Amino acid sequence: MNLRRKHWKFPATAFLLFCLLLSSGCGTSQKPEKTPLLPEAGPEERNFSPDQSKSPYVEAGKGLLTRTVFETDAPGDLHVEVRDLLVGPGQTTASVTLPGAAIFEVRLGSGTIVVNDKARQIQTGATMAVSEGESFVIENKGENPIAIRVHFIHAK
Amino acid sequence: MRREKLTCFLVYVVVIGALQGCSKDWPAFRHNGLRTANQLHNSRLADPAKVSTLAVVWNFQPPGAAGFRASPIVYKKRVYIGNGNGFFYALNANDGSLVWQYPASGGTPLDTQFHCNPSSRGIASSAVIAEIGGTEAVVFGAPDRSSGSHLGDGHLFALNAATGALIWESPAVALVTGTASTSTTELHEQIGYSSPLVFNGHVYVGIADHCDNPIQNGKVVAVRISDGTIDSGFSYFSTNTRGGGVWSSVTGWDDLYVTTGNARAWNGGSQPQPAVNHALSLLRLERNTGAVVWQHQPVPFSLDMDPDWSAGAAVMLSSCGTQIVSPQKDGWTWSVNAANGSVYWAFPSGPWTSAGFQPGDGTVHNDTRYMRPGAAWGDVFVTATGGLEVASNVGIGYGQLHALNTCATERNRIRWIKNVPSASGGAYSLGPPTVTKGIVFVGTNLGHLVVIADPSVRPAVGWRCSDPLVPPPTCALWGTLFPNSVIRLVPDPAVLADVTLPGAGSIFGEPALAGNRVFVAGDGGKVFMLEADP
Repeated sequence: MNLRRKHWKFPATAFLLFCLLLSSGCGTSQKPEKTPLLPEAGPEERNFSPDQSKSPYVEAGKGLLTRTVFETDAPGDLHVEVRDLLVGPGQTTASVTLPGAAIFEVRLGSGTIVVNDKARQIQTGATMAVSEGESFVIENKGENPIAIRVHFIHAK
Repeated sequence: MRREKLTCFLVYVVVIGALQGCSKDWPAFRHNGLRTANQLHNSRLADPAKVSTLAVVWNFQPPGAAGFRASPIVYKKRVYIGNGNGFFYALNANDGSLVWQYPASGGTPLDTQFHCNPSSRGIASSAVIAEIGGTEAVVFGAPDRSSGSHLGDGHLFALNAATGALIWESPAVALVTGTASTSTTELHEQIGYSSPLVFNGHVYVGIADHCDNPIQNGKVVAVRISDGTIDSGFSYFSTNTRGGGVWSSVTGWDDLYVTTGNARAWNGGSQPQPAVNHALSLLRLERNTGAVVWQHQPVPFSLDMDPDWSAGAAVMLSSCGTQIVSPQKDGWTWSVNAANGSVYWAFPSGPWTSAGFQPGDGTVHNDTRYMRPGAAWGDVFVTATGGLEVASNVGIGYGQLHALNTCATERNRIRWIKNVPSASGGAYSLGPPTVTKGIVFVGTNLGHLVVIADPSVRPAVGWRCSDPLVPPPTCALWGTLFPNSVIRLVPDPAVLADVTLPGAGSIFGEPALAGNRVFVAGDGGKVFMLEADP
């Protein structure tokens, strides 16, 4: 028993010295290093970066942001457009009417869409059609935004 | 026995730590076996004032150069790198002069006859430094037409780092038995971009395929570091049929961590879901046997539209636990608990964070281009990833770097976002980033080396929105109205240097940070050394 203990004692000491020697170049950096969060922007912050998206969202009525992702003319005097809609958490949009028939594809979030006074629950992955001339309202009671991709076709 | 095991493990941690993790050099792809790409030592590169003086000191272009798809490693004032022309070079780090090459001039290049994309041309695997029987060695993977079918089976090579003399060449670890691109009877395996991992008395390397023509059964092979013989006691295959190619470099900590490619379809074919399906996964493998300890597979087989998980994983010894972090090709980034494979977080988050992606959830998992591993600095992970718009605009992150707070709440996940200058903004815009003391280095596809400062090191140039498509004024208002929203202002960090590398071509590999120098190579067939002023 004692022999076994002695057998381990020297290597253990040597090993610790070995560790100290080898790790001297690393200091304490082998330990987990907590990296503090950066300060938040103040409420009046206006030093905005000049490096911004070429296709940003713009406000399209109360509670609704929209941007055009793609558009092109199509045969038959038609125009095809793909837009993204973004509804903030806790927001209810104003009533919106698109200038053509549209397919909605919910990319993110969940809430309620009211089309011509008929309410329907929507969630990520849901799709639905909105006919030309119909108006809709989107209600987001969640804590995350609702992102919807809209494909629509209208006359030029 | 337990004590002996513990001692062995500690010896590994300290010795490999000394050789790799704590090295002032850059002795492995991503600097070390944890694949953190983090240079811990102080240097002029960590000084925001001095790093802005970075300038090219020399460049090296070998005769008959093809593109460099491997990244340079640096050890004891030498640079080691393989070229697409099939030759491996050792250079003097001071002046770029050739010290030796393998094979010697006039020899048969290490190349395959199955050329289909740059991963299959010459040597695409970055090297690693090892010690073999008291001799310092450099180890890399490459095809060799001198054996087997003579079509270019993949082998591991160990060369004397000082002289270039061959210490051993492994048996074939990736087999090529024909070159008919759609054949499902021939083997079309390759090492490709997978850089060997030296760990646990072995060299581990991932095996994938030649351009999905067709996909092969992914695997990890272990050879003994002492003599290069294959350890048949270690066995990992991704499926029981084909798929799950290990395109990335194996990561080593307590065990092995790998990421795997697709299984559902390939150029000219498809298959039903294999009974054993470790494709599109982040896996922990037991280091001695290759057994799967856990598997994280967020994209189910039914949604597999070829989002290979090809970036490889980084082990982050963060203040909130040991995280295995990696971006997947579809643009999502995942952090998984090393101990049990449970998800710490997904970026961006959603219902998939806990349940994985589901058919009909609106997400798309295609063959998009988020293929570069990220860099780990403290609790921060710097990576090219899809960002908050990935579900609706998957390509928007190609030209961007995101710094992610890995220990923060979802709201504070994004630390900063940078549209990297001097990059096209499209697919393949950026190489893998590397970092030292909060200063990030990245090569671009327009042949530049760009250096970016975390705002804790140098103040940011301004604020931008965490959602790159929301204008800052709207974002500021949003952040005020909804203080818990992930949509908020985040810093746009400062660029400390943007250096043109003449003739570099597109930079596919990582900038190696060694001492006061940066080493980087490009598709134009040149290796560059840059140095900062004293």
